[in-house]
Order: sequence, then structure tokens, then C-alpha cells
Amino acid sequence: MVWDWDLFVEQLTSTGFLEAAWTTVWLTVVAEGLAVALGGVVALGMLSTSRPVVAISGLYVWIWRGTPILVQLLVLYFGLPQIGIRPSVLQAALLGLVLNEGAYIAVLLRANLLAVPVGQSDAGRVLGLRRWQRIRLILLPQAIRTFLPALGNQVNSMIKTTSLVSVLSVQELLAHTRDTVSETYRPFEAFAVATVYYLAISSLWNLVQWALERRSDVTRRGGRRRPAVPAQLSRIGAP
Amino acid sequence: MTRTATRTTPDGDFLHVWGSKTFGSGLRVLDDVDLSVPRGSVTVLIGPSGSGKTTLLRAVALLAPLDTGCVLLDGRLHGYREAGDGHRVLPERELVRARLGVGMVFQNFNLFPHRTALQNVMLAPVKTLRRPRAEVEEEARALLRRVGLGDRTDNYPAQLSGGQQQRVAIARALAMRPKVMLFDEPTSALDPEMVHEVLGAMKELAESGMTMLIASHEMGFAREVADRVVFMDGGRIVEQGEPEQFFTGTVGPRVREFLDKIL
Ligand SMILES: Nc1ncnc2c1ncn2[C@@H]1O[C@H](COP(=O)(O)OP(=O)(O)OP(=O)(O)O)[C@@H](O)[C@H]1O
Ligand SMILES: [Mg+2]
Repeated sequence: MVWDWDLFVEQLTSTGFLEAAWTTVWLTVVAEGLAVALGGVVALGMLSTSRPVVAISGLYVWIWRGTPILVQLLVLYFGLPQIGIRPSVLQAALLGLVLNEGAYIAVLLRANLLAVPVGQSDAGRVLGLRRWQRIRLILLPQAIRTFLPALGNQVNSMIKTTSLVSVLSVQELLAHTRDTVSETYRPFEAFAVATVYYLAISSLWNLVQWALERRSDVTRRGGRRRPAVPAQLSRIGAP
Repeated sequence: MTRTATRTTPDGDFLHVWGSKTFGSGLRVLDDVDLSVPRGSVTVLIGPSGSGKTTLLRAVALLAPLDTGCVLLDGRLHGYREAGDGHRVLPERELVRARLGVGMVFQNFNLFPHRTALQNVMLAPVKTLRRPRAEVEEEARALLRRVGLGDRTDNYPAQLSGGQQQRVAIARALAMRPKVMLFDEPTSALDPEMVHEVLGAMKELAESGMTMLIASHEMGFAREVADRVVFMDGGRIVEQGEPEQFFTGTVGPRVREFLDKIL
């Protein structure tokens, strides 16, 4: 028999796959969340007035964007014990994902901060706002709005990148699929199930992203009739 | 005796800027300018594109300081300190405080797009002057009413016309209670029918006794409101005098040539 529907349905609804899919989801969410925090700090570091801070931030981004994430994961898990640090597989996996993604987020955020027209900064300066106040109150809110679509793309990417932590045998979708195959010797059904889960997760994310973007009107299709800010901040409707 | 000592105390001088500025490749954008603005007076800066009007205003606003020379405001060094027999601009940390005395309105308004008109006006008084929010809000609403926007306080900049945005920008600058207001071509990004509403707000401000330095080619406004017109060319102040002089033709050939083009 070439294709076993019963096996496919059985695996699709098995708790094993459901748990593995859940692991993929929470790894994605936690890793991306922490990466945004890290990337935010590093982006500000790259725009700092202190040379050492700029240098350290730049060095981090250079190394982590310049090497394969697979290598980074292996170094973290197998290399760290050599200097006396023994992370669990999950710790190594999360750390690896966060450090790698943080570098990309930093570059994205920096670009979006620099894309805010200089006139905004000038206006802040003549009003007596300090550098940090200008970043926090004027530049970041505007940079974040243009950053959101790119972040959506990053999350989409992250859903699939998490499959790499299967090399550390974290039981996410890919690792579970391979374990299943080695028990059943039926790769086609198992990988088909994994495919369905990956597509379901990223489709779900597309929906979330669509809803978020609609709320914050990133495309500004609302034009002048709708406020170009998150709806919840607006106290009035169309003028 | 330092150069300041001879220049600090001309009678009635409220704002006094003198000096030079060079950008990167040796282009002298301000070439030994020397400009005085008496208290409560209105000075209009005119001159061809690239003559240094914006650069001069940005120097006064401490956005792009002079290389040599200094700014004096109300009898004190503004953003500069004495250094040897010249002046040195203060470090950025201290400039932040110094900038508070001068308000500036830009050609492109530069309103904060993620904040309503009211929030634009309230931001700096709350964050930099640390004044109580309720008091600031009351004053901000009054300022917006003053520029004719009492009913647009909750609109975002994108929901306002250019003329309305520029009037919000004027209110935002006034909320900091500046001693001097600078305007850099405040109406040149506006459709003609919106120009008069902004000039109206500026005229009202002039009548209230605000000291104003305005880069603008609105010669009708200059004639009606200005106490002094200053003509710049090639980074130099070429001619200055009462507005009437610029209309009755008692000006040099370069100025006349320029006026013929814009009038
Ligand atoms: N940041 C800068 N770097 C280099 N050159 C500059 C810079 N800013 C201005 N300049 C140059 O300085 C000169 C004066 O510019 P400025 O903007 O002060 O002129 P302006 O009188 O305001 O002209 P406009 O009427 O077009 O606004 C121009 O030649 C301009 O190219
Ligand atoms: Mg200019």
C-alpha cells in the first residue's frame, strides 16, 4: 500500500504530534518575544553615542548574522560544557534561537529608527527633549509601526527555523516526525502530518498578523479618514 | 578685550547672533554674519535659495551650531561659553536645556504623526518642563483655540490640512513659552488658500509682542508686520532695513534683482 489514510489520520490526531506542534508554537512565540527585547536593546546600542557600545553591538550582529544558526546551536549545546556551563537542551535551543533572531531584529529595528524623517528629531530637539526621550517618545513609536510588517515575516520564518533545534533532540514537530518514522518506517504519512501542522501554524499566524496590521493601519489605507495610529489610541472617528 | 564684550550690550538687543559656519567641503554657508533682533520686534529674512537662511535659523535654535561666533539671548550667552578669546558651543547634554529659550516652526511642520494635536502641544511641557499635566492641558487647549483650532484638539496630524498642521506647530512651540520664535519658511509648503491662516496666526503673535525671526518670501506679510527685513546672499547679510525700503527701491542692485524675481 502506497498511502495509508488511517495511519495519516491516526497520527494527525495523536497527542504526540499535537504536543510536538505545541512545542513548535511556544518555542516560536517565546524565542521571538525574547529576540524582540534583545534586538531592541541592541538596536539602541548600535545607535548609541558611546563608541564601545556601538562596537559591541556591531560585533554581536556581525557574528550572529554571519554564521549558520545550526552551527550556533551546536556550539551552545556541545561547546558550552567545555567551559563549565551545561545548558539543558531546551535552554540551549532557546538561547540559540533568541541570540540568532535578536541580531536580525536589531538590524531591522535600527533601519526603521533611521527611516524616521530627521525633521522629527529636530522638532524634538528644539522642544528640549533629551536624546533618550526623543528615541522613546518620538522615534520608537513611529519605527515600530513600520517594523510590524517585517516582524510578521520574522515570526513566519521562526516557525520553520524552530525545526533546527531538532538536532538537539528537542521534541518539536520535526524531531517527533523523525522519531515516528523510525518506529513506523512510513515517512510519507508522518511528514505529511508535519506539513499539515506547519501550514496550519503559519496560516494561523498570517491571520493574527492580518488582524494586527488592520488594527494599527500600517498600510495607511485608512488615509486621512482614519487615524494612522492604533485604533485603541484614537478617541474620535472620522473627522 | 574679547569680541563679546564689545557686542553684548548694544541697546535693546534681545537676540544677537554673529559668526561663521562651514560645511564639510569648505563651503562657507554663513560668512561673518551679524544679526541683531530687538526685543518684541519682527525680522524677516529673505534671500535666494542656498543663501543660508535655514542655516542661520538652525544656528540660533542650537540645532547646528556656529563654528565661530556665538548667540546671545536676553543679554546672556545662549548655548555657548567663553573659551580663550572666542566661544565654544556647549556639549549636547547642556544644549538640551539651553534650547528651551527658543521656539522654532519648520517648513514641513514636523508634527509628531502618532500624537493628536493636543498631545503634540502637551508633550514637551510635560516631559521637559515637568509641569503638571492638568495645567499643561488647560494651557494647550487655550493655545490651540488661539490659533483657531479649538475644535481640532483630538485630530491626528494626518487628519489636518497643511495650514492647520502648521498652526498646531506654532501652538506646540508657544507651549514652551519661548523668548524668541523662529520660523523657517512656514508657509512655503502650503497651498495658497492656507497661507493666510498661518500668516494670520503669526501676525497675531507679533502683535502680542513676541520677538520673531522669520525666513519667508511673503513680502506682503513683511511689509505689514515686519520691523526689519534682512537680505542674505551667499552666506552674507547683504542688506538690511525697514520693509518700506525694500518696496520703494532704495536698495542695492542684488536685492532689487532678487525682489523682481519673487514679487
Ligand atoms: N548639512 C549640510 N551639509 C552640507 N551642506 C549644507 C548642509 N545644510 C545646508 N548646506 C548648504 O548650505 C547652503 C545654505 O543652505 P540653507 O539651507 O541655509 O539655505 P536657504 O537660504 O535656507 O535656502 P532655501 O531658500 O532653499 O531654503 C546651501 O548651499 C546648502 O547646500
Ligand atoms: Mg531654507
